[in-house]
Amino acid sequence: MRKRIIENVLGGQILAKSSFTRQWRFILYLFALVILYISIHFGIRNTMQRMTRNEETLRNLRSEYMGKYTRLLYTGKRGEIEKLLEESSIDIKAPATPPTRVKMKED
Amino acid sequence: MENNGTNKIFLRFFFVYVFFLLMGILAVGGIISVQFLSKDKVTAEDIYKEQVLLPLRGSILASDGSPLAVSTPVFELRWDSKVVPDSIFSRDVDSLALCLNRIFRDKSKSAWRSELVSARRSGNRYKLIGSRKVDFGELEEIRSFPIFRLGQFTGGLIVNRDSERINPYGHLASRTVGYLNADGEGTGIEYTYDYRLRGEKGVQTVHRMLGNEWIPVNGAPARPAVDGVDIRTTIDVRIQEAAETELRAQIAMSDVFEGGTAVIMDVKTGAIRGIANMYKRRDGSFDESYNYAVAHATEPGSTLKLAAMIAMIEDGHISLDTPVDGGNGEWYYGGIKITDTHRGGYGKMTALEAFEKSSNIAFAKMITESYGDDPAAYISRLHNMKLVEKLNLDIEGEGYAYILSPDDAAWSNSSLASLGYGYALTLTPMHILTFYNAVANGGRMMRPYFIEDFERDGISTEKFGPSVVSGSICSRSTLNAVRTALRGVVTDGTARICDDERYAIAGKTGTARVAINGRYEDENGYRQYQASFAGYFPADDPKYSCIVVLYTGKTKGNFYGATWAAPVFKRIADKIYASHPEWNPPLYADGLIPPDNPSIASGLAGRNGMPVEYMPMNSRPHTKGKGWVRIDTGHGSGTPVVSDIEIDRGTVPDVSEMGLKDALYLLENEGYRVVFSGTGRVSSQSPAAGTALGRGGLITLTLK
Repeated sequence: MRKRIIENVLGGQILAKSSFTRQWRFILYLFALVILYISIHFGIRNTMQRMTRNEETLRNLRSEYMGKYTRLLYTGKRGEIEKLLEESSIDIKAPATPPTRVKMKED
Repeated sequence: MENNGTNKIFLRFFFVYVFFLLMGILAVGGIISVQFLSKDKVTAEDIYKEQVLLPLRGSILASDGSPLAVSTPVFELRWDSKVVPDSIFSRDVDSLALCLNRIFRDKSKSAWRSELVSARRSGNRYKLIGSRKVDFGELEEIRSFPIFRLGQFTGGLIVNRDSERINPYGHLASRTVGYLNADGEGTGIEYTYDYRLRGEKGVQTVHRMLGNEWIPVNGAPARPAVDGVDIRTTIDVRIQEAAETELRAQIAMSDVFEGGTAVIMDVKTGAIRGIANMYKRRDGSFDESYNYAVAHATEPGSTLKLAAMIAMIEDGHISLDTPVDGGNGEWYYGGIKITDTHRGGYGKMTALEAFEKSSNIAFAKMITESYGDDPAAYISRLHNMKLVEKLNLDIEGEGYAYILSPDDAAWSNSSLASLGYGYALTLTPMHILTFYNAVANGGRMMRPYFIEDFERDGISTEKFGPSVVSGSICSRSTLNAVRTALRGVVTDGTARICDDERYAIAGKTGTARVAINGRYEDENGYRQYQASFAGYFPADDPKYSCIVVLYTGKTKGNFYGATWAAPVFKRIADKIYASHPEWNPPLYADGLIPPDNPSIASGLAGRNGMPVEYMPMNSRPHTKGKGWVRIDTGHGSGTPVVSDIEIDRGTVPDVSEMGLKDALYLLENEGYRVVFSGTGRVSSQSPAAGTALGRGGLITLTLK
């Protein structure tokens, strides 16, 4: 009896049995589910990997932005601008009087 | 024949079967060997690990939101000189040196070249590239340089990631911003508010993927990192820079100076807009290592005369016109000699002139005449004005302000006289400024503060802002008197150097000798000075108050507040003035009529905006305690006339010259209905004032 079962499985006769042939659509469906499961799983992993990489990029871009921004802030200091003007011997001085407001229409 | 064929097929099938069986056994054996027999076991830790998520440290911002200190990832560059092949190195080293010179800008191309060559000759495998760490943008560029673009194993470029605190404005406001070292020690806001800036660490479980990438495990317990809050300070970058530049320039003019401080405060709120401290180091250069403004409590000298003046006027002992004799410049009281700087003395003068000229003798005489029989009354008056109040500042290290009182063992016969011109008490520059600011702010004393709010992504989460120390340090009339006196110091007194026709400064100079071992002059004739100037501007509508104090080392020269501190004040004020166009009246284009300040105004007295606030400070009439009033400025005669407006039930009140808000408030409270036309002030009303009209009656107003 046991030998028969092993023979059936190894010899492939089991696939020809009517109980199997009747259910082949369902078996196919199960396989489709398994494949879907695996592909979704991989999809999620890929997305997470992309997320991690994007976070890294974001941090790096922030670093780049802050680097440029802070260099500009420093260069924009009044003292630095005056120094630059002097170095390039441009005769522009900081204003000693504020600009005058001109009123064009009544508020 | 057929049987033979079947056998052949069966034999082939048998071989295939055996092959697959063997492969199966091999696979199972392999698994068993890896799992149980092999020595390098793959454990759970190799695939899964707990990862600590580091929070981003909060930034410290200026009042306009620009960063004073910010954390950002940076990269340290190292170079393994041995991995680069000879041919590539000798071909590309010149262009690499040129590229590095362009990025770092601190060394010439040839200096870079010789540095690279000598590193390679000595076989340095971890050579530091550049004098500073670079940001990501620069890193990307550096990665594309010759040699370096070949990657770590051929080009030798090693990149270490790091996080660094950057101060975009360099040393600007460095004392206020402060620092924090690796041991958690530090100063300023970085140290005091570290617990809010640093944020909270998070944790998550990560899983190793192919290619050695770690990604978070779905569904595993995780706690995200919470970034630190940003702290917005009250510092105005431009004012701060002006304070530092001008203070540094002045101190550099003489070797005698040991340090100095300049603080600028917003009058209405008490916000510190700029605070500079200079402390001389051994090598002669200056840094911000000591916070004079907050911590250095000393005898203030003549800047205290303002408080003495307020006390004496408030208690009814003197007025600005009270005569006082400055004598010949020397006066003895309680066993000490009091002197004036003016040779030969100031002679007879008024209290106002004594203040303008800063006569020590006059103030000693006035204070001892006023409070000689009850010194405690003067001391308690000073306390009531919150002169020595603990300020509870946002940054640590507040100096101890103290007034000698008759109960103290150190009190002597001369103490009261000394208290009249700024000795026998200690105050920090911040205390003095807070007091002067109160005078500028109509008597309301504001607590100086450095921190506006805590923010996340630019949205305020906790607000601090202004707080009041004292609603009123003295009466309105006293305040008007001392403000006249403070302005007089600039127009006719010791601080004429600050007089400017474009805008008005008011303030008081101070020159104090610093006690060295209990004496104001040592046996060799050396003295130490503290030169100061405290004041506010524009004098008729104060926006900023400011104090400048310079400290000398031992010297035989004279260092006066008028000649050393006042010019710094003036130059800082000039820079601030130049950025405030709204302090000057506008020009009106053709066809526009400038608004005329009303010569007659009516309204509810004592309320903000009406009606006395339209008038210049010095000619404002006294309306305290009055109700509805009508004020006539007297058309140039200079004496405003205040008359009460009578309000009788059932009679239409006179609302002419009132603003619409006041007119509506008054009439509708009396039960009338009102219709109006036009803008401006009420020019006519119907029915006329004094007509009998019952509740619910209609009144028509015309405004012009």
